[in-house]
Amino acid sequence: MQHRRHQSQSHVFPRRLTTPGGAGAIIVSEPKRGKKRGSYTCGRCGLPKKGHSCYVSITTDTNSPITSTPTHAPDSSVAVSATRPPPTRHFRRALSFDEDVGDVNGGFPEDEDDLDLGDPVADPESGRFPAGCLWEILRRLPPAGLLAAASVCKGWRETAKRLWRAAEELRLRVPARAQVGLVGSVLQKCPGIVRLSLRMESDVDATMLACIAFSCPNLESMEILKSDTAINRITGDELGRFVVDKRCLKSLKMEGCSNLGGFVLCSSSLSTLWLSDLYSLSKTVFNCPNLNEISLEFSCQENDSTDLATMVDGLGRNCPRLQNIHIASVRLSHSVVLALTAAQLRWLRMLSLVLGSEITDASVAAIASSNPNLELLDLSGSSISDSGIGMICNVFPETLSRLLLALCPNITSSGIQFATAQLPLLELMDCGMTICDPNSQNPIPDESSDSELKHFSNTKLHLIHQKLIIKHNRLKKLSLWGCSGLDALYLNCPALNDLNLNSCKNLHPERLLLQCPTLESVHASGCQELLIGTIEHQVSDDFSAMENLLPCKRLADGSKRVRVPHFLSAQSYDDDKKQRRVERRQCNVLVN
Amino acid sequence: MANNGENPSPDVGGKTVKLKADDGEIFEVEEAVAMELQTVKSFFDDDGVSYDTVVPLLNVSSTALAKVIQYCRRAVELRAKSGDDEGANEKAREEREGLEAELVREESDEGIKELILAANYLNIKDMLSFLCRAVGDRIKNKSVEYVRRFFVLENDFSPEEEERTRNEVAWAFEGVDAD
Repeated sequence: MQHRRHQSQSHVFPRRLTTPGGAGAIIVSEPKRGKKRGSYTCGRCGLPKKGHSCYVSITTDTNSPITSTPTHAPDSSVAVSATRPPPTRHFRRALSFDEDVGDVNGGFPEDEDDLDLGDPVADPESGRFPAGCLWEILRRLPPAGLLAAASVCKGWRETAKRLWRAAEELRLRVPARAQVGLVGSVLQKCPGIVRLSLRMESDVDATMLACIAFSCPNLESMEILKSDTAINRITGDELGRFVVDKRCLKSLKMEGCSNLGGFVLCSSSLSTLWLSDLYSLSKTVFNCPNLNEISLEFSCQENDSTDLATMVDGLGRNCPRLQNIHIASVRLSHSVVLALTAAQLRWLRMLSLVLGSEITDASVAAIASSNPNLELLDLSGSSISDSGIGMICNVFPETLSRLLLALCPNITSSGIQFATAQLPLLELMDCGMTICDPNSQNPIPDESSDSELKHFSNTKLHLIHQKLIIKHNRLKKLSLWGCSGLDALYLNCPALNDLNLNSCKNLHPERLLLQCPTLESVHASGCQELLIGTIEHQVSDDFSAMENLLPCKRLADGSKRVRVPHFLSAQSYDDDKKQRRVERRQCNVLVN
Repeated sequence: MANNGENPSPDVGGKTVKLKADDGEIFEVEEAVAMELQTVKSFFDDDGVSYDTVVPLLNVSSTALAKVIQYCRRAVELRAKSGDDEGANEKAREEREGLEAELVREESDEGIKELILAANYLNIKDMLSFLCRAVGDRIKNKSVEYVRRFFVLENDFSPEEEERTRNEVAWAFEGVDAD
């Protein structure tokens, strides 16, 4: 689950709405319609309006790519202490995987409106720049820049004002010393705001909510992110009031919810709700019949008194349209799962219940029987075993495309292999920290020291010297991070883009075979030097590995022969493989 | 018919269009390239104006026009290269971004402003877009005085007005670069 981030478009788990650190913010405008004054010349190009069509696109131009995601704890620290839950933030990825970060510009429709900015400012003599050009420049500035621009001269202030009024989306980073009043003054410039995202570096409380409620009558989507030092003091009552007031609010995402204490949320418009850092919730009521997606992440503090079973029960009963559920809490247990499955949510497609070591194979049975059409199942951190995997493969082969079972100590390589063999639609598989001994911090001794091998108890033998053979036509992302018990890996995956082998420190360089021509990134931090070299060699070998039809492979020293599994000799591809041979993309091997 | 040294003669046999800059200099360009300039395109769209007519571009200097033509030529070439193939598309896009970055990097502030005015007048959407972004980058973290100097603008605010605006958004001025 811990993936090193690399700036590429195809993240394993993109977190779409991360505001880039320190980059200010982005503003999106759409042209004001229907405001034409009788002017002979076009406001933008200065040509006579008659018979010409001006062409202004008012798309957003984000000034920093969404690909800069927050850095997570280095993999090595997680490998060492597998029992301590990893930072919670990344769990959300399982859900956001659905939202592919394709277009950095947010995909806002281009508009070919003949935007007449009215006043004959198009005179090239005075002020040099026609208003249309100015609009194009100003709308690409971050909000701070736009605010400053208003101080330049009256003409600029006017154009800036128009831009604000046309804005529909705003992403602001609120620095540590800023006061609510300043945010308020910005919000009041843009009453048309539909989507708001605030990255708080100062504390936030109900006055901010009130300010937003007052200034943004058309708000549909709100997100409050916070830096590590900021404190979110909003209480459950205050949040509840806000939600009730905002009748068109569809999406609410908030971090740092440790002071909520409990809440009653009533909204018929709300369809997406993400709350993180929750702690000790007393009463929770989700009176949101149109709720489609919910993500509840609990902080990992001790003595969390939340009654998860009751909460989930209420959720199931009041929100029948739920499709995506994500709950992260160490107190997840089988009884919570039963409460959820009892609700028989017929639209449920993505279910993610992570960190609950008391989730068992029985829980899998319950899930499988009540929700047979899951597309995503994430039970990372649970106690399920290979029989649980067996059940998953029994029930979900026709729908399941994403399976995440990281940090599940009771599954073995057979289970993993079984899953890849039985789930034809699988595109993402996360088996991080499974094939390993979580309590062992020492490197596994190599074969030559037989005496040390005897010291390993039988129960742990399945955690070392494991081999994985995976052949899958659709698998795109595979994570085996921290699988220190893995020493051989054969992958034949024509669609694989991303492979995570971080901390696979016992993976033997001579027992690795990658036949994945579309591989774009391999993460190999914490691996042996030789292994990294082998990986680099294999991924840069243009098709030669694939074209090698020999059933056996002779190694450099001539003495050993690696017995290559039978499937590798049958080089027939599926019909849906592209006929055209594309030049192989460069594959990056990422080491840190 | 003087041809600017930077503007090599187009291929024989393709249709060409003649553009006249503000100083009278004439540029002969391939039709495909000329049509990148929407202003020129509309000129010919009107009532079947003959392609032999010289298009007067009175608001564009010859230096700016030369650069515009150069950019548009490369843009047309790159667009021809990309097709259905995703890989080639990606490559073409990267090349175009490199081209844009290079063009922008070499320009002085005056030069870039002139190019913006030209791209605006000639109505070349893509070019205007990246030029405006580049200018935005140049003024993004600068002081208000710097911006005024850059655009040669007069401060027409009264001192009270200016003070008020400044206070309102003091935090927007955090992190402003030295001029």
